[in-house]
Amino acid sequence: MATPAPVLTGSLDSAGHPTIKINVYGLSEQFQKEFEAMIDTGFTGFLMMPLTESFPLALTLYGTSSWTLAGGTLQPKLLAFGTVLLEGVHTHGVILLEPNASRPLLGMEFLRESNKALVVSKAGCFLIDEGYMNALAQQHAQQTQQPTAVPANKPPQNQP
Amino acid sequence: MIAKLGEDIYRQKYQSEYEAHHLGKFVAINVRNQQATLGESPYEALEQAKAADPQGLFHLIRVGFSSAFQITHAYEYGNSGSGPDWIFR
Repeated sequence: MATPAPVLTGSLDSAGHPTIKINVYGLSEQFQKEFEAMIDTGFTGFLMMPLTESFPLALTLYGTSSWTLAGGTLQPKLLAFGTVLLEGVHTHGVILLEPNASRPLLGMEFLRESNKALVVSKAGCFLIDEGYMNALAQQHAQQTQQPTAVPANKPPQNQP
Repeated sequence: MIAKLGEDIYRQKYQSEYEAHHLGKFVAINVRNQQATLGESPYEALEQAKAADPQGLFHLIRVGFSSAFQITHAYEYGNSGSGPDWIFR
């Protein structure tokens, strides 16, 4: 394989959710703090942060967004600009500030922006570079397209 | 309240046109001047809107969706941490 596999490993929490350690900051890296974030592919956003945890990070407030609760009620949420630092890579995005959250939640927008694919196993979780995943997929496609040579005098298998 | 102003401005000035032509895109409504900025992502819409008016106050909407973001989990994000009240659509 020409492309090295840039694999990051996370773990599973007690409830079986994939989690990974990230650093988050706003205006400057000097405000960064490490968190154990849950990765949730059912969350379409970039990152949701507990409101109280976000104060020391110097996030820049953008404004609001409305969320629709299951009962149809609109509830305003604060939005901020911030950066996630993961293994030396800085990814910028819109962070939702949630008063009721107990820990950070990474969503699909983060995976898209950081070009990572999420793989979950019994042992833990892996954030794999999209380029590596694409190379694997191409290799697999090439292998499955090549016809397998069968000797002419060999009888077919699975026959009585 | 920024959220209510933003929702009202969007509904009155942009909703019908945007839902016909920009379904699924994100729009940042500047409640200071009622300008709308479209983007492919929340970050793109808000960054462009902020570049146009650094002092702006923005409300983010996803065109054609009831919420800009969706979450299908409840777990500890619920008000009580016990029910599906926080399953957004």
